[in-house]
Amino acid sequence: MTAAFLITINVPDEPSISLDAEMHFAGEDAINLGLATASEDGTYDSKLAELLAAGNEDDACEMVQNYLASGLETNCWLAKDSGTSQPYGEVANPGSRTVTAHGLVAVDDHLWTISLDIWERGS
Amino acid sequence: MGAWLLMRNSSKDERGQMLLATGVVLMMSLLSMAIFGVKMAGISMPYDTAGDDSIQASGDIAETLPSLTEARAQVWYDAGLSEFESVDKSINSLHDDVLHHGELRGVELKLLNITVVELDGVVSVSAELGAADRNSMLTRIISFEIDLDD
Repeated sequence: MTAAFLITINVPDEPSISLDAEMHFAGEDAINLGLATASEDGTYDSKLAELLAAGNEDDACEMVQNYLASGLETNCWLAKDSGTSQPYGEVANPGSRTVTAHGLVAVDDHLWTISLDIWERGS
Repeated sequence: MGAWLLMRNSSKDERGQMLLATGVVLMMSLLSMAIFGVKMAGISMPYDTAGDDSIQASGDIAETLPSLTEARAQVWYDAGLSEFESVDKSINSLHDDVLHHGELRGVELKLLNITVVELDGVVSVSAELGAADRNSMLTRIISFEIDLDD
C-alpha cells in the first residue's frame, strides 16, 4: 500500500520594509518640522511649543498634520504631563494599518507627548 | 486453517500500514504548523521601524530634563519653597511624567537613584535614566545644576 501526501501552505508575502519606514520617518519629519518652525513672538523655541503654551492644541496638531508628506494621512494625539492622550486637529478613521511616530515637546514646565498615527491615503 | 491465518496476517499488515500513514500525515501536519508558526511569528520583526525608540526617547529626555526641572522648580520657588525643596519636588514630579511619556511611546523610561544636593546656593541633580523596549535596554547618567536665584 502506498500513499502520497502533498500539503501546501500559503504564507502571506512580507510587506516591504521601506513602506513602514517611510511612514514612520514621515511622522518624525513632521514633528521635527513643527519643532523647527520659528515661534512668531520669539518667546518659545518653536511655533509648536508656542501653540501648545497658548492652549491651541487643535492648531498645533493641524500644523503638524499639514507638514506630513503627501499621500499620507494622520491622526494627531497630544498628552500633557501625565494626562491622557487625546486626538486634536483633523480626526479621521484610518483606512489601513497605521504606524505611530512619537515626539516630546518641552513647553515651560510641562512635558507634552505628541503622537502621530499615520496611514497611507486611499489604501 | 492456513488460508485463514494468511488472511489474518494480511489484514494486520494493512492496518499497520494505515496506522503508519496516519502517523506520517499527522507528523507532516505538525511540522507544517510549526513552520507556519515560525514564519508568522517572524513577519512583524523586520518591520519594527521604532526599534531605536529607546535611544531616541532617552535622548529626548536627557535634552529636555534640565530645562523642565528648572521651569517646574521655579514655580514652587516663587510660591515660597526653598531651592532644594523646589528642585526635589520638581524632579520627583517629572519622574512620573517621564514614566507616562514612556508608556505612551512604548518605551519603559525610569529615573533611578535620583540625588539632589545643594551646595553654596546651587542645587545639583543627578539621576540614572533607564530606557528599555522589546529590542534594547540602556542606561545613561543625567547630571545638571540649577540656581534659581540666578
